[in-house]
Amino acid sequence: MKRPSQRPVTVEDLLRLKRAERPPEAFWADFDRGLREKQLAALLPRRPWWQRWAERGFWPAWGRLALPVGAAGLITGLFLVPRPGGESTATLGVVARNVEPVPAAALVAPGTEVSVPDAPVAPHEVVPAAVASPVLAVAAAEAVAPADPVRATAPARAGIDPFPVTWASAGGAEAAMAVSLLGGSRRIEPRAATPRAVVEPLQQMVPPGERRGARILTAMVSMAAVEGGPRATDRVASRLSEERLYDQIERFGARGAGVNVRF
Amino acid sequence: MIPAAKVLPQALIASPERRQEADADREIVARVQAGEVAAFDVLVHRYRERVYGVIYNLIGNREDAADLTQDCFIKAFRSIHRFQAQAAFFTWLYRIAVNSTLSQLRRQRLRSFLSLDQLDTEAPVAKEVLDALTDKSGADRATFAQELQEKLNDALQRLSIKHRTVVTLFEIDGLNHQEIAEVMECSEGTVRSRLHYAKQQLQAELAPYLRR
Repeated sequence: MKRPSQRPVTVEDLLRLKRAERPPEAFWADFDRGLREKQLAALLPRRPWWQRWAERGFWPAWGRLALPVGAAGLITGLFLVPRPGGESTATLGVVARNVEPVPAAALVAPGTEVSVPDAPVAPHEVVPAAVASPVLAVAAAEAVAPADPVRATAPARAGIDPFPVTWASAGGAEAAMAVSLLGGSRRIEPRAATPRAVVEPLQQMVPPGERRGARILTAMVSMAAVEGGPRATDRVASRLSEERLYDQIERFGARGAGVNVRF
Repeated sequence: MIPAAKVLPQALIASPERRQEADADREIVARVQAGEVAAFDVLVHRYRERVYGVIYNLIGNREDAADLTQDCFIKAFRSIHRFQAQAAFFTWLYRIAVNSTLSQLRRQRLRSFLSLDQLDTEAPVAKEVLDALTDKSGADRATFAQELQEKLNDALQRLSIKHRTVVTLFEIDGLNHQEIAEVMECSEGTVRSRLHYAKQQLQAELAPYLRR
């Protein structure tokens, strides 16, 4: 057995051992092959994104979504693409300008009794003062068009009560305004909102007390419906008499905006 | 072509071998820049072992080191048109290698397992050190060499990235302070300071294997 030499060993000597750590020769063959592949990849132009996605398996997943997404796109396209022969706002404007003012008396249905002065009603009397723009004038003209019998009678009532006529024309004007706003700039197919039935605004209002009472009654009825099953079983269990049961129910009631409980 | 001696700092081309090497590199680089792609292979074969050695000693994992070495050459290949004659090609290449490795080490800070190359115990450098440390022979000597190798690599991995880089470039790869300063883009004083501190730490870690 040989003895270790007596020379000092320093950190530098130990670090020099690292120079003796070498990969085998086969390692360099693999290294060169890998480097060649990477070098060729670096030389090739970068492929477009759809080819790289195809490599990552994106398109099979896309295939499942293709039908619904395509259908949604088609429907969206149908809504957005303007029709070649469709009416634009400009066309409507032309039509509106061609509408001649009709006397209110001429629009009265034959059997209607109306106490209207003989003088013809000028358009500015039918159309509200605020409706000064041509678009709204169109709407007003549409509102008095004889196609709709309900509207046709509206000017007839104008002599008696001009307010409904004003509201009817305003409703038509609202639709025309929507048409002009949507169809004017982007040529979206105009879909005029159907004019609402003319109802006196004050008639639409319900007193708050009645509304609250109706809500409470509805809630009580629904609670009774929910509790119907268990209550029946309770009755069987406790053998309540009919009179006593109704007596208990009648203790609760609603009047106006409040709920009463009788003891 | 401008000779390297007129462009590079004198300290970097002090030895005639290094000067010849730098001149040869510049010629090849000029060919690659002119569009002769195959000329790059000459540079790869000239520097692949040294670049691999630097990266391997920094990262302590042979598979990662191989990948990073390939990436380093690809990066050099891609940006060789930007290489100018202010520095030697090998300094430029080392800078790419060190920066890539440091980025990789920062990304995988938590992962620390070693995958080491075989220590050639019959190489003159290793033989001398092993003879000084052990009287064993045969399988026992190989076992001792493996144990020492693991301890040494473990101690190196305990150093900070910057200290490890300085030690690797100076003690293992043989670069001088100025070259290291250029590669690491810091001052020579910083290099010396880091080297001193790193050696102190290694001495403490490897004390059982040192002999005064």
